[in-house]
Amino acid sequence: MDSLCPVMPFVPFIALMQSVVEFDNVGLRYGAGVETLTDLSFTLYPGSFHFLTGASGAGKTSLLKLLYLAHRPSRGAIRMFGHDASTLPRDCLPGLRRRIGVVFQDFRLVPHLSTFDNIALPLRIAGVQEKDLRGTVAEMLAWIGLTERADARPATLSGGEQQRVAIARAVIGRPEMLVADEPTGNVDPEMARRLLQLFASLNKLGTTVVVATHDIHLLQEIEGAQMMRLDKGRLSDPTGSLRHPPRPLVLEN
Amino acid sequence: MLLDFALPAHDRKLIPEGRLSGPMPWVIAIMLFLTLLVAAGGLTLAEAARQGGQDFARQVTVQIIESDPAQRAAQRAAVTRTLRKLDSIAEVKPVPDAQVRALLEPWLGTGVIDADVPVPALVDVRFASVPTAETIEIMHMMGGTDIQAARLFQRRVALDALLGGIVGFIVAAFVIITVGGRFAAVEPGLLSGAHFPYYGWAVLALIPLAVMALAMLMARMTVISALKRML
Ligand SMILES: Nc1ncnc2c1ncn2[C@@H]1O[C@H](COP(=O)(O)OP(=O)(O)OP(=O)(O)O)[C@@H](O)[C@H]1O
Ligand SMILES: [Mg+2]
Repeated sequence: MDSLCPVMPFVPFIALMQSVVEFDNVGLRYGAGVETLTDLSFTLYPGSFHFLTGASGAGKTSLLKLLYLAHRPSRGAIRMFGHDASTLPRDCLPGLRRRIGVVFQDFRLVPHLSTFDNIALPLRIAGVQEKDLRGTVAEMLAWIGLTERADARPATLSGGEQQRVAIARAVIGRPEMLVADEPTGNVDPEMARRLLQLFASLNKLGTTVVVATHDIHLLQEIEGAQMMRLDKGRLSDPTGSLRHPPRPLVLEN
Repeated sequence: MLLDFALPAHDRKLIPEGRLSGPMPWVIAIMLFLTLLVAAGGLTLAEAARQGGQDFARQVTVQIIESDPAQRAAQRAAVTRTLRKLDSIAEVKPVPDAQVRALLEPWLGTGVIDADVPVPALVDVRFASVPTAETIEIMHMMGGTDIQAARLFQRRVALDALLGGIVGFIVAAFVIITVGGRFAAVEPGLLSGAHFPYYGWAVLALIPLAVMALAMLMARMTVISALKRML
């Protein structure tokens, strides 16, 4: 399938520091109203860690939806993993989505599946054999402290427990990009740090992480993390490190 | 014969006109009866899936009738334990005796039921629901292909249809055997040609399978058309 999905032309300059995602003058409009997101231009590199902040309604979830390919932009171009995601044929999108882990703001656990099966879902979708996924899922359950609740259904879990399952599901497949929408909103500070550590260790393995949050204290937890700030659908960039064209030294902060 | 209706008028003359007689009408009647029943079930499922969001609330209540209260409680506990082990069951909830009494009061009058009057023990059992539009959307967002989502839904619907088909088959078999027997007993001369032939059973047994295939096809089409509306 991937061979039918067009890849962007090879440009030596870009190839030097292959980006994960590039937004070029992206706008998003729901229906006929004003643009919810306006003039977004930025580049994310492998192994970078970003916090996305902004007031409620500023457009954080909308931006993440573009990142996890739930929407196409109304204008502008999004380049992702070397593909032009704004025009890529629909059949090519599942292949890209499997390289992205998502923690949804409202968790989106599958109600009739157990904790174990919810966490195993991305691996099963990717066709991983049962014998190969058991251990991985069990390890993940232990990390989030829910081994005893492996057979429980989401409805019987607390909000914080559901959130941990959602996070485990997002990271289990070691995605190249992790997108998390307010992932620590329902857990105590102790668990929030633990979960962030999970993101950080994935990040060290090369995963690009984008975490939308209202909790600015989280920023101190990750060394070298960059901040993206949305203000009424526009990206302001306090550190100046995200501006287009990209700079190769972004990671060194 | 069915063939008569399927052929244009001028062609009908090529085949001798026949009455509805012999075993064929039986087979067709039962076939249609079963098909319509299951198709109705399939349509309901498909509609529910299309509307999405809400899970199918599938619940039954197990009733334990036993006059000795101690025995009754023990049986209820055993039933609850056994059902909780089953994978296809989402929730098992024994109903407290007080609640059962409250349920019965409007019928029997207040104060009539005291601890000595035996009331049945009830256990609410909720079946794990079939995958819904929500599940399909989640799978889609995680990189599931349309085919994967369709297959998942298809398998579930196939199992349901097969179960329905088997039940329908058993009911039909019961009707054929009893009604067929009556006819033969009442007026042997009148309907002497209309007995249910042995090969008819084979035809009937194929129907649940055909219906299952139909239900799977419908499920597949429903899921894929819902997914085509998503990016
Ligand atoms: N599907 C939609 N259709 C129409 N408008 C939408 C849709 N989703 C979001 N919006 C609007 O877009 C704007 C940005 O919403 P978004 O959910 O992206 O904000 P947010 O920054 O994530 O807010 P919060 O911090 O409360 O989660 C809001 O005004 C919202 O009403
Ligand atoms: Mg949001």
